Amino acid sequence: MTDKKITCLACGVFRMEIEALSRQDKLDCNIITLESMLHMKPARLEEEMGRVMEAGPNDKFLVLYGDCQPRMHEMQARENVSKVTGINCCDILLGREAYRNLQKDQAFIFLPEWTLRWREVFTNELGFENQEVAQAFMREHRKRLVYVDTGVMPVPDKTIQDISEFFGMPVEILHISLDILLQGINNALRKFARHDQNDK
Amino acid sequence: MINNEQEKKSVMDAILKGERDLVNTLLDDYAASRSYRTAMNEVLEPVLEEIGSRWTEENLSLAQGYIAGKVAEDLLMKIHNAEKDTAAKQAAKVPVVIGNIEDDYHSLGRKLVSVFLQSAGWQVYDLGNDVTAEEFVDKAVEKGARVIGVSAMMYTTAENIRKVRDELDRQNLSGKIKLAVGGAVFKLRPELAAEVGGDGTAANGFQASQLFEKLWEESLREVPL
Repeated sequence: MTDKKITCLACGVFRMEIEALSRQDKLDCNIITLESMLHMKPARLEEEMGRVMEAGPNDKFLVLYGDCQPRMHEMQARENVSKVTGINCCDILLGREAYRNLQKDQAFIFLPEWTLRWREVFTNELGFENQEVAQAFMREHRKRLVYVDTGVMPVPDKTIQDISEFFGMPVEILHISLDILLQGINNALRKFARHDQNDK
Repeated sequence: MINNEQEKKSVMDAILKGERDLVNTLLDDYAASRSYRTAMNEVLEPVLEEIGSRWTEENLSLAQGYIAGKVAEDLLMKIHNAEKDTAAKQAAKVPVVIGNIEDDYHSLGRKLVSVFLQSAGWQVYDLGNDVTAEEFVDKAVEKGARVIGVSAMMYTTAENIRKVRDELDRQNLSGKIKLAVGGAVFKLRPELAAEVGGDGTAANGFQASQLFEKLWEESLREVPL
């Protein structure tokens, strides 16, 4: 389905998942991942994505991102770019309906990559050094904490326990496959297949 | 001119350190010989203005923004209780409607806007997350609001704001009901505000009241009471 002329430009939050797809021979292209913490700095993310694309002006880019920077829409409209459908990483992995249902339930979603660095995310990036403030914030804005197990690493039980204790809320575990992610990737790749056909 | 630089500095420092209780104590002390409303006007509002600038410059963490909102909420509650049954409390408040647009669930910014609008004296009807265009417009009509404030974090959800403009047009309410838009994506590309049909935007939530005042006045000029 894929080939080496295509570069998958992905958020680091998907790194383990796309490496797993690659190992399973379901994704066969160059892979470039960017630091997932750029999610917190959309203007810098735009710059970084632009930098990667400028380095390969004749490449095709499969973009594995949500609507994470302000000009993603214009970027995906370029002929040599195709973005997976989805407004953010959780939407891309879970699919529209499951994602919307979790949002309606006011769930905070922990994906594997962010889970492993959750302290760094919450203390350094978001400033929640004070546990009391973190608990108040989370309880006010979220009713559930959900860890999404994508099957690419063992469920980090100890880390999940630490998260639960830090926020004073239970963490549920939701097991999913990579099928929805793969389907999104394949749908996005069809844009290139259509262009290739038109060029013939 | 009021010389309360030390109080403002102490409140700012405490907010930046996430010490909500300390901020409340400082404001209680200031209010003891004056009033809670004076503490709001003379201490917290100028501090929030500075907080707003830091937010715009991305020099404020999410936790610090959250604490700023909470201390404003705490003080508002004290003002509300202190002025219960007084003329100030009974004075008619001007209604406005706010919410996150359909498909948008990023509520922190909207909640901060709600607190800052209330502290400026607006009667806020906060419809929450994932609000449809019809719900926004119907509530504004029901409450006599002349400004609707719609929040969206991302481009995709900001696009849904067009539906609010379409609904206002459909009900012949454009001009009478103004559309304020805000959220992270508008900070990064302010031109999007007009593209999605907004009548105005603000650099941050702390400036929302100024924007709403401007839009309210425009509405009155275009469609007088």
